[in-house]
Amino acid sequence: MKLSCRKHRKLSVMAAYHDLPAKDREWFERHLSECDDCRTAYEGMQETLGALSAFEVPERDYTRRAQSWASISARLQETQAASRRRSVPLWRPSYRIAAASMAALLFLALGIAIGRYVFREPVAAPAADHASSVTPGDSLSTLQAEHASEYLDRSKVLILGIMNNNPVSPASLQRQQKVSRELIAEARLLQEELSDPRQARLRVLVAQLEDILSQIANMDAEKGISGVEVLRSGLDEGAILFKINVEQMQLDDWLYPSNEGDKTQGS
Amino acid sequence: MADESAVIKRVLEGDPSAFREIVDQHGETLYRLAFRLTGNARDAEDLSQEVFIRAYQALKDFRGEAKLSSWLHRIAVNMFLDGEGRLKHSTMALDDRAGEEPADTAADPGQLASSSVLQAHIRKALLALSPKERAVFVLRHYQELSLREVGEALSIRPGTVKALLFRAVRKMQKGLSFYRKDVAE
Repeated sequence: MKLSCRKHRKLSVMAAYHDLPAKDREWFERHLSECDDCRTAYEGMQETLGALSAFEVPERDYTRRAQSWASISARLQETQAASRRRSVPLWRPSYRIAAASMAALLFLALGIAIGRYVFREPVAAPAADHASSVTPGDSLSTLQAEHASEYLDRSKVLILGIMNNNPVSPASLQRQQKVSRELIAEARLLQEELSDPRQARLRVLVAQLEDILSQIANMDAEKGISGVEVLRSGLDEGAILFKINVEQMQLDDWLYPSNEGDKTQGS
Repeated sequence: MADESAVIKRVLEGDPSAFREIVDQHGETLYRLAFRLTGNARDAEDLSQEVFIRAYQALKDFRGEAKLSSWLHRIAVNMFLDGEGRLKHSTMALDDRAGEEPADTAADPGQLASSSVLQAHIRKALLALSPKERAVFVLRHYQELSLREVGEALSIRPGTVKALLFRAVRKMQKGLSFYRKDVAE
């Protein structure tokens, strides 16, 4: 092979990707027009690169993408939990019991406080104050509120069913996973319905539920208790069941007021 | 995504739905990059998930000088080169048809390109490259990064990028020599 042909072959890759400087490009083109061997080789390389461009990456379907997010979400929770464990070296079982008792007391106190707030006797408020309060009825239709309430209820039943499925039975897990997938599909629809900014809190809760449901849908029966533990940790961290209860109380208060006058007030 | 920096800010503030938006937005392109690097779906899935985990942990250090997608791609390629997502399943995933040659080597290139036999050959030829050659080739050929951008992503000099790309293309030509007998010389 002549020296000029060797140089031409060396430049051919850069030329094919349009990375040649102008002065080299000029020389390259001139040699290409004069040398049949180099032209054939260059055309061959371009054809090969063209064929390589046709390399197809198989598309992932929706389920695969949802599974992917579920795995990422579970891993993030594990990572966060691990980093918290590392950052609190004195966290021993005895402290855990004490902390759990304190948390239970706190939870109880919070429940009582919220209960008092939610179930307090209606007070005749000035008109301006009432206008500033936000209830589900401000931005939801009755149908949407019923849908949201029913969705929360079904999700809660499913989650509690999983938590109490101890030891994990593959047959019941399969049924629960089927329901999870249905609820995941419904979550997207519901999130669209809750597009009003005033429903942001409810929408975030539905998104959190979607993650939890994805974990259930992808839970491995063989992992048994550890899978449930990961799920439990996610639920605890997000206080998911507590949030469901609060949202349900508000939705139910609006949907099923103790007298019709309340509903008229809320809408 | 409407405003990338706003979403990142929400992630850093602890909004769990914000990171989901990032995964939804970039998951598919990242998976495609990972598939081209690893050559099979399972490794690609693993690698792209690892990238998101790493990105989540490092998001506070993201300064926004590059686009988020470029930053994610950079993490992916470097994790691949560090061996954290590399070829755990590739030997299993290689199509048996990669051992076959097309019946008619003079067939129309377009027709050949779409055939599953050629797809398997391309995959095999890509896997025959060294990890660094493959990374350079994939970034330049499929991701269409400039030589300078490839160099920045891999922290190597432009001259090295050129040399790796040259070697990669030559090897690919040889790997696909059945396709054009005259280019394998």
